[in-house]
Amino acid sequence: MFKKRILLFALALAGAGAAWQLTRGTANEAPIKPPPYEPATRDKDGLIAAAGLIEAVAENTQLGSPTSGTVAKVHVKVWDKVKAGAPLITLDERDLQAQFQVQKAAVSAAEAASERADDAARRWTGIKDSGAVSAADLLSYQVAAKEAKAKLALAKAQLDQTSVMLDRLVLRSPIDATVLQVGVRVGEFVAAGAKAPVILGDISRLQIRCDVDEQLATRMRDGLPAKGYLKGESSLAGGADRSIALKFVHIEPFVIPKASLTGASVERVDTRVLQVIYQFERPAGRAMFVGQQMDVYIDASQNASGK
Amino acid sequence: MYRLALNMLFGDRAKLAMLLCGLAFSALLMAQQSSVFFGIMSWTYTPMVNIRAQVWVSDPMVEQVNDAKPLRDTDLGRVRSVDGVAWAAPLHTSFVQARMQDGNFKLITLVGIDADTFAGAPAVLTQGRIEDLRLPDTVIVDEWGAQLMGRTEIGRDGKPKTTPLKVGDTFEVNDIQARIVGICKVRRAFTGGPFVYTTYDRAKAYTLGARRTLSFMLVEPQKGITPAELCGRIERETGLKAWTSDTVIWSWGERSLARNTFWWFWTNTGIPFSFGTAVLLGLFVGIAISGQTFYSFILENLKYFAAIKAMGAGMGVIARMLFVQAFTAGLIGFGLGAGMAQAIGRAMIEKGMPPFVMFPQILWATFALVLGISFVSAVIGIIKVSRVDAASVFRG
Amino acid sequence: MSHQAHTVAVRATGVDMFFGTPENQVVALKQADFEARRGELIMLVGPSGCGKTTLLSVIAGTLTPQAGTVEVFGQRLDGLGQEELTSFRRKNLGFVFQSFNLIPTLSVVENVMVPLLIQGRPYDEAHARAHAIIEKVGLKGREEGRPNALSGGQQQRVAIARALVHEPPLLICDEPTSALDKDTGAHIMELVRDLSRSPERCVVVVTHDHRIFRFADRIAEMEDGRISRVVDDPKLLDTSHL
Repeated sequence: MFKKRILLFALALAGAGAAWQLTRGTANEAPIKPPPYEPATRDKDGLIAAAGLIEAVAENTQLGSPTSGTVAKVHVKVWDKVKAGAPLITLDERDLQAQFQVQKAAVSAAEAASERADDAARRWTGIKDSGAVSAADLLSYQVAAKEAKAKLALAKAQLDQTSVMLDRLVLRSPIDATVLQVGVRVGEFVAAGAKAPVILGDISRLQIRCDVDEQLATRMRDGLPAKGYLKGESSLAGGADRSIALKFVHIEPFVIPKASLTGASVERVDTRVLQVIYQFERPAGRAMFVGQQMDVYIDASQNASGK
Repeated sequence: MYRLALNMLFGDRAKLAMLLCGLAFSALLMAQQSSVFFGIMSWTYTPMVNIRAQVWVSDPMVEQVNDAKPLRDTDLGRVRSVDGVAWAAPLHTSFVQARMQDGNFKLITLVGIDADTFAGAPAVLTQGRIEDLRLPDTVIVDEWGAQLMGRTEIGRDGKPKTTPLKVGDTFEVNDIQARIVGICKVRRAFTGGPFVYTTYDRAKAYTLGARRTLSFMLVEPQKGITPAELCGRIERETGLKAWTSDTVIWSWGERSLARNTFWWFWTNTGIPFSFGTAVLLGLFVGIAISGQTFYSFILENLKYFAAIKAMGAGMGVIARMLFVQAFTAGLIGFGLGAGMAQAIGRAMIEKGMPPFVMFPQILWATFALVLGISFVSAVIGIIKVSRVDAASVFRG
Repeated sequence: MSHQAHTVAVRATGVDMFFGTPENQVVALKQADFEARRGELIMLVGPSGCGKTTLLSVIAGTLTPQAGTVEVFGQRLDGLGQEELTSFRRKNLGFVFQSFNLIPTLSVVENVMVPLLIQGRPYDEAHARAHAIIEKVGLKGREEGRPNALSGGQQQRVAIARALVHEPPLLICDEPTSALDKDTGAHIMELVRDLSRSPERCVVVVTHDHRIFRFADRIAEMEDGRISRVVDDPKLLDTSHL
């Protein structure tokens, strides 16, 4: 009987113990593990965080076409390095070419007419015998020669005009740069002043446009050092310092509305941001492209007011 | 006398069995019912369990984790600018309709995590790799969701058979394709359907009408700074609300989002009432059963206690004897009941349904209640014995 | 012992006892006088409802009378509180009940130990003394059994052992043989007489079983709540109404 009693006690104790052990198990949640890829970790105080977008130094030139027309020829492709004045795109010039030929013929005709009038005037002027030609006739010949000359000048000017217009159909690079984007194909129509068919930039040196929330703007000063962490680079070998040292360029004078990119047709203003420009040397061996995002930490700990 | 009291208790095996059954059954009812109740209630803060981070930051008006009030994208920069923050990652959560290939619609919990670091990613992937989320139009669904959103067909035997979704299957969210690249194992939620993970930027696309998509920010404090400390700093400097992610609901910690969610559901919904009545019924049944059996046990022994009293035992001795009997029975009954409850609980946890969370407090409360029942029964017995006329023993 | 005062064990004088409300009163004892001496076995006899058990309860200190004095071994019981009465019973009384009142969930020896344990004796000592007295009542070998496994006579032997284990000066027996057949009853009374006989001890037996009258030293007959007469020889009693 006594043994049974102990058994009962033991059973009760075991039950309570197992229940207690279960309470330890169910109430506690999984431990917090670090993310699969190590995030850019702040290591000091007094930093201002900003979202940065890589762009080319001196900003990207979004080239527009001065005239409307159909694209006849695309001279460049992306990554091409172009000199200032190099042709990029030629619009359809057939009608102007035709006009050019007509005007060229007109110049020839005007030349011929001018020569003939000139010749007649000279001839009649050389005859000293005043009786052979009346003074009035002589004047008439001379005026005709002048008129022919003026017509020639007009025809030439018209030809020149067409030539300039022809030249305008060729879109040329205003600077030494790299072609970053070509937005048109042969046969497409380009409207004057519409979307940029070609984007040029100097990508030998990149710069970063950082959006600083307006509420943090008061902490921003000229000349603050900064570090950038490229998005998508967290998969680099862990532990390696993947930060990129940034050099201050300037603060944009205007606080601008930040667009909220929802993918919808209308982009809406979300908040206002102060834009700060930083420059950096492209690190060796690391691919970096214009338009990539970067997490930027601006070091405002000294709060050294710039200059 | 105490030894005799115990011998009296253990002497009658049938009566003891009934008594212990009553006590154990009521302990079982109380512990098991309330564990299931708290299991269901703990589903309310499932996002906190599935998405693990030290600190959560939200809009100041947010009261609970299922009700996100979107933030501005630049708020991420403001939080990152707070001293003591090691890193901060964006998180999107929303309830959206997913369109299955068979045309059915299912409500899902869309979770957008930072594609760069995958902070907030599910801890356990049973299929696929988290990195595949970087491919276009990809999502990771949880096991329950894979089952729920699976294709149901009538088999040859006439019974409906559900083929769960697998890697490579697709569905649509807001007319945008979602291709499954992984299956994860996460806890079920009370609201919002299965968890579907995607990247933060893609979540923006999936919820195209939404003006703002930043629901929460997951923040890690720097070494040497406690989450609570960091919460204070973030709130001071940004005006946003910062929460700790601990799931200890039995505290007065105002910072715990899980705790606030739990008690928000407690006070603002009918769930505690509807589920709680079942628990209370179980409680009452348990109290009634064990009280009843205990009382009848004492009644049956009343005659003998009267004899002992006539023989010159004081009420103090008799009271102590009754307490010894009551508490011994109570302790054993509790142990047996708790043992049964945990066995059932383990089976439930194995199955995953219904949810079973046995908080230590549940066990303590059951313990206190069973001992309370024992105590009250003993007190009633003592009153009975004290009222009994010692002379009554002479009358047959 | 030579003094009169010392030979008197129990003296009840002018005891009034009634139950119920004043409008609906049942009178149990009315100016009852009773005296028992040390070293004797006295029986209280009478018809049912004559007040035997009430008088016994008064003597045993389990009932407090409305009037009269009760003195047991020189100690006045009237006027004592519950605690003192309990303590008095614990020290001075042994009980044998009509229905034995053995605790069925305890073994024989444990039942016998109860009075000693109530007195606060250590378990081992109580156990040894219980064993000894169980042997005396002739139940050796049955100590660890349950009372329910015993016959009625054996159970009453256990009850006697329990009543005497702490050697009380006053033994109270309430109808000890009424649940037993004739021979068994006679054996029990022999046992009571043999074991309880001591110059210091007084045994009060309430019974209406005339077959056992022969064991009495004196017999007090009760009628309508009072002692009608006390005789030395049972033959002098009119037993026709019993």
